[in-house]
Amino acid sequence: MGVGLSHLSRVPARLALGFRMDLAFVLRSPALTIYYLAIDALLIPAVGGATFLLAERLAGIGPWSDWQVLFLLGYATTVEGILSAAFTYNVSHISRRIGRGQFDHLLVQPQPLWLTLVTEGFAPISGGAALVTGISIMAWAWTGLGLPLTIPWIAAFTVNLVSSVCVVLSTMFLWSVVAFWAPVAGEEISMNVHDALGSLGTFPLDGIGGAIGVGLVTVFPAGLVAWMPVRALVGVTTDPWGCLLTPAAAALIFTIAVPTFACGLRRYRQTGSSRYSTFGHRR
Amino acid sequence: MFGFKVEALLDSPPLTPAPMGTMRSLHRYRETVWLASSGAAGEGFYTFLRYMIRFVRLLVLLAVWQVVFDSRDLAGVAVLGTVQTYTLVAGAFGTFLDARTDLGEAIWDGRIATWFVAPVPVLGHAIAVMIGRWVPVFGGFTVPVLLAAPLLGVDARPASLLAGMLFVPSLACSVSIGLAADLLLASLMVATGWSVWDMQRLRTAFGTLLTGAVIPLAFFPWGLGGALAWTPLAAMASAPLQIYTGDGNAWNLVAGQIVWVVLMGGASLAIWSRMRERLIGYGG
Amino acid sequence: MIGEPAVVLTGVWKSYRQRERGSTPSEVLARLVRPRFRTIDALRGIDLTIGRGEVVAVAGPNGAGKSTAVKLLSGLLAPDRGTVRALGCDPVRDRVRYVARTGVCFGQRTELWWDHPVASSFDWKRVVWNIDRQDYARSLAVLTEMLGLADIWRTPARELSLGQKMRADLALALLPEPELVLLDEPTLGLDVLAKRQVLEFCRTINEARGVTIIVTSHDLTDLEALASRIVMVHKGEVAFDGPFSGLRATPGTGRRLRLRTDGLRPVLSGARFLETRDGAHDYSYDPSVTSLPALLAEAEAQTAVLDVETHRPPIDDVIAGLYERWRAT
Repeated sequence: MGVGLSHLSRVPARLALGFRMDLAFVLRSPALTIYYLAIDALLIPAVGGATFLLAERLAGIGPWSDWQVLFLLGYATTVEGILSAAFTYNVSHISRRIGRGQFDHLLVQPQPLWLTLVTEGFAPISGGAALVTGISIMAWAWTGLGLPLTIPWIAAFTVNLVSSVCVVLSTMFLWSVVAFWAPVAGEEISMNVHDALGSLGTFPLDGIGGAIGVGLVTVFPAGLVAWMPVRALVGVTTDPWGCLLTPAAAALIFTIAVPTFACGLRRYRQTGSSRYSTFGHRR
Repeated sequence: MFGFKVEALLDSPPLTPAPMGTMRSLHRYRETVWLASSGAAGEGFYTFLRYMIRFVRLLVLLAVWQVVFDSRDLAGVAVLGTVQTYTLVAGAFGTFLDARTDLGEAIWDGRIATWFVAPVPVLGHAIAVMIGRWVPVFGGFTVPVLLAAPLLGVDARPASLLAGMLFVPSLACSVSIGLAADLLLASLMVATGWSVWDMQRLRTAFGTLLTGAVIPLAFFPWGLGGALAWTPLAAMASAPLQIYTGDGNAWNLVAGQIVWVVLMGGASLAIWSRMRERLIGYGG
Repeated sequence: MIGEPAVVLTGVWKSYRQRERGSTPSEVLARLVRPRFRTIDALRGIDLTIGRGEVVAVAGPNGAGKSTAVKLLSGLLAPDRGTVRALGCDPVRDRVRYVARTGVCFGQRTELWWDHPVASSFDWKRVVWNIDRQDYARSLAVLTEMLGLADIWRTPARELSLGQKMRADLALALLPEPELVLLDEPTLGLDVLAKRQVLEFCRTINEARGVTIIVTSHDLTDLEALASRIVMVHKGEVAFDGPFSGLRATPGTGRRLRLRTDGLRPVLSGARFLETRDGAHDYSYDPSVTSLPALLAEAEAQTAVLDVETHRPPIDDVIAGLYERWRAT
């Protein structure tokens, strides 16, 4: 099949297409779009809202101040926002398409699978509300914390943010492999993983030691969604290597996820899907 | 050609409907419950995997409370043991404290048409499927979590015998309010044309945040907890959990729940009966 | 067969493993502890060659292996054993290059973007398939005219009727002007007119551009008008491969004779009685064994024959007869 990196030059055209289609979708039904945007803007931060309310009531949680917890919430919302703006249409919920037999739609396209997955879910307008909310919350917390706006900090922030998105996506793809073997049972596994990562990712996980603590930054890396990178970014930890942990872990998880998913894909080539459901988003 | 004789069909007498007593009616639901539960249980290892994710989430919550109590003086606000019991029971009974049927999805994908042509009430069928799905959750998650509580250092016993006894009707009220909310959201979906996913997200987000299913209302800032205590949201999760942990007047909490069952149940059924007419054109 | 082959299947074997589930509580528990599987051989060493420019119908009873064959040719599945070559490519290994030259249309699954108007799906296809703008305009103009897309161009896919959706999907599959077209149940659920439009269009592109078309369907009467060749698949094997006329000539699929008499039903030794309807008696006979004049003479010896009709049986009847015989064996 090959990686087909020569197709890299086609990425901008694909993203432009996604933007165009998304804009058309938004303009066709403005009322519905406003509703979608409002619901995203409100609901995604609401998942971590419980942590914030608790921090607000108790002036922080453990070593975290209430402003730091707010930054954590903003960061986690931004990660979620990037996912919903750039990997929508069930690109991130790939187990659904595998489980429903809709993966066939991807395979009949004359481009490498990675190109489809990277570009097909680009819907920056209809999916961008959470991103705006997340950035706004972070900006608010940033002013409250009085953090320095230096180039190294911005670089560390950007690299960590991209790494967190990579962690969530890679983990969802990794678990979605289950759907290649058990299409019915595994159909919603990416959704379960996503929900668990989202809800656990907004908790300050300090004090959770032992196997669970290790598990939360390795096997089920909810700690890498926001907790570990934000700890370093807002100074909860003074470890100078703190900012590098999430990118390193993201690289490792990505490296594991790609061949594992390819293994599942090989199985799909052998067995195909015995079920097909037209219900639910195919793209 | 078809392997049967037409005469055999013509000669056979027409079916006469059997008298439909209460027990026979329940028997039909039992079959639906069985099919739904065996379907959910049949997923085997992957169901176990999902339970593990929920269990880890519960462990994290318990650990967070430990950190909170270790770092703050919360004397006069709450006791760690009570909050941990609250969290554990909320986790163990989480599915039942957030009762949902397939009604919304069935309307969205048109499956509702097959429910309407079955000789049982549509809502009865939806509830039977929901209960069927609950059976493996109860056996595979709720009971094991309660049994594992001592290993987690949590006392899972109710605050008193009365608290334990009142928890059952309180949970029933919670389920009824959850079903009423389900019906209202399904009606809203039909009325507005919004997608079932958004309805579910709406409910999940507010269910997580404002019902007290994750954080006891006593920990909410700005007097928000006190205000929410008067809403049906609190009646869905906070009330039964408070009763179980002996926090607050149990009789008052149950009375409040009953009021919401009557109000929301009546409203949801009335609105649903109006929306039912519009369903014909909705499911395609 | 015209030129080099478009498709060559050599000894293709494809099996599936299916998990058996319990229906009673004890069975459910038992299967949970000890899962039980059964193996289904969808294709059992199939050999098939299809030339460029051919129109081939693939038929067979439910579960015969038709869809598996189409999936193999679409690059969705790899064979367990044997080789699949199409347009000189391995559909799985050379997927990107291969699917750019093929058009696939599944009757039961639409390629249209669900929440967007039909036009958006075509724009999407232009970009993803890397179609030159001029070529796109030319191809689209032809498709719009022949498949009547103008009236549905601005309609969201989710609001299209089954027939409209099928027309749009077919146009979408043909937009890049593919060399090989795979149609899996393309007439499923279509009304008579829509069905005719789709099939006529397929015939036109085959004649005009020499496009190879492989089509599966249960609607064989329509396929007979389109395809020059039929491949019957049964239990994963090719049970018949040849022209429709050859299928009709298989033993047991004779001609039909209808006699209208003055009331009495003649007993004919050289023909099999089928039914009496509206005063006419229907028989089936094999012209290679019994001649028509001999049958008429035998009938007239018994009663006065008022009217005679002979015709070929509908292809659906021929196929049904074959399925019945296969099921019996």
